Amino acid sequence: MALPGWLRWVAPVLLGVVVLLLWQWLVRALALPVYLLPAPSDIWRAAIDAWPLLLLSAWHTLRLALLAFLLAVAGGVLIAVAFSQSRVLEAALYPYAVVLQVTPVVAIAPLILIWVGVDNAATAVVLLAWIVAFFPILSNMTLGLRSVDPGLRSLFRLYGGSRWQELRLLRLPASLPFLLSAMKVSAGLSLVGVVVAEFVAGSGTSPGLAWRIIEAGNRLQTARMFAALLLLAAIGISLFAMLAMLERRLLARWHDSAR
Amino acid sequence: MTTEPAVSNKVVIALQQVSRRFPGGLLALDDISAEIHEGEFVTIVGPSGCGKSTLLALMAGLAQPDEGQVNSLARRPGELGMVFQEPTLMPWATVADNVALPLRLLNRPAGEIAGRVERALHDVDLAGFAASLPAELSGGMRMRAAIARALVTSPRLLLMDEPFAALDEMTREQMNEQLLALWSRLGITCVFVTHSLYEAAFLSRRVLIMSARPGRITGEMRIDEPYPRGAQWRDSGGFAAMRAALAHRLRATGGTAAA
Ligand SMILES: Nc1ncnc2c1ncn2[C@@H]1O[C@H](COP(=O)(O)OP(=O)(O)OP(=O)(O)O)[C@@H](O)[C@H]1O
Ligand SMILES: [Mg+2]
Repeated sequence: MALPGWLRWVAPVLLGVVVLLLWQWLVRALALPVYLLPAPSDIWRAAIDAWPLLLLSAWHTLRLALLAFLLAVAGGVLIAVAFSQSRVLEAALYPYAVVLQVTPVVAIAPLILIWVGVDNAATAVVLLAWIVAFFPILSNMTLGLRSVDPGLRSLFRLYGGSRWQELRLLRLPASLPFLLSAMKVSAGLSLVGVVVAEFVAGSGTSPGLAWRIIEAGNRLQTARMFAALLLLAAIGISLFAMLAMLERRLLARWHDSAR
Repeated sequence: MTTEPAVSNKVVIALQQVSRRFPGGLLALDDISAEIHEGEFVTIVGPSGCGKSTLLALMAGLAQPDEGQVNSLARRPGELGMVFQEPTLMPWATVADNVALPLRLLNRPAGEIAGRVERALHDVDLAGFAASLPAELSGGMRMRAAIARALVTSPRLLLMDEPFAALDEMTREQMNEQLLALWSRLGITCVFVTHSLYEAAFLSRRVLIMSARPGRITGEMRIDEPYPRGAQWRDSGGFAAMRAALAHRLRATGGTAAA
């Protein structure tokens, strides 16, 4: 039932083209006002007009999202490793990690902003995005470090392997598939986290994409809003695609999911 | 050609009135006494769930008896090799790295590791597959890799838990013959768990017969056919008679096993 490789690319592209054509035609046929729903051609024009500003904002948002993502991976992995070494630590800390996760990021944003100072909006944004992005890494990595073949663990005991050897030679490699799949989720979440945090924490001086959207909304420049949204989606998809590629690369030869 | 290693009077493993009870109250092993002599090839047969794997874990020191004593001359890490029911290879590591694992856990120098791994792979006819991953091997080859890993430390005692149960009959017969050849060449002591009476009659000099719930050793049979044993032993009348006698003894204890 596997799709041929070319069809996996062609099918979504074809669907996109059809939807765009239909959209263009509907907007024109119904003569919708451009502030309500711009046609694809309007959005394209808006994007061309504003591209230096949009790209700069996109770069700003992407940079913060990547920073939050990397910190989430590092933090999630480190805490999960600590959990794997101490059940007590895990039992004590895990509930609070869950609390952090289930609290809406919008609700803590003002607090974080007060703590880091309104002048440090970028720090607040990264911190908030980190809170959103790190939990999938932590929970998947914790699971991965535990999902070790009991036979292999017996083998390590048989030869008197140390804890450090068991972590390095057995638990860390065994958790790689878990980590990679969590990274795909977490990258998207860090982008969402940055945008949401920018909405709350950003001000007129904030250069991120979120602020471009708000600004365009205030001025009823709906086409530009769409352009910014599309840019955001493109960033999200690219991040996902790159991580999926990394996953296939690293697991191709040994893991069932990539074979 | 292969001959029988000299069986000495030296006892490699002695079980004295050993019992093992699992949490929940199940008496998995009840009052088991047995001795394994140096250079012997002993098989253990018994119905599924009678405690064969549990018994092997006690012999390996991976579990402790609730009552009784296990005395073993192969207690230091590396003196005992074990082959589990599944190949239990690390899927991310090459065959050579998998086979090298015990030596790495024992912190042996890299030069020694390389030489020993090469020899062990050669012993099990996997010399050309050092760089392959487990997923790229057949089931029989994976099992051979697991055997190479168990042999790489030159153990004095080799414990095997139904290693060939998942293989087709032809591969299994071939592996049995190769195992006997290795055993006689290396002069190693072998304890081999199986539920195949064919294997028991073909491989061993002594068969321990177990019953289920509670797991007990209910009988013992000697198979005096001299080594080397090959196809002519498997096709002989003596072999068929031995197998029938084993089946009879096993039925008398209330167990059934595969022919
Ligand atoms: N960790 C455990 N906790 C509780 N009960 C267990 C545990 N391991 C095994 N048992 C029970 O102990 C009994 C013996 O198990 P064991 O795995 O030794 O049997 P076995 O003879 O190796 O069976 P098989 O031929 O199917 O491999 C079984 O009834 C099983 O349910
Ligand atoms: Mg078993």
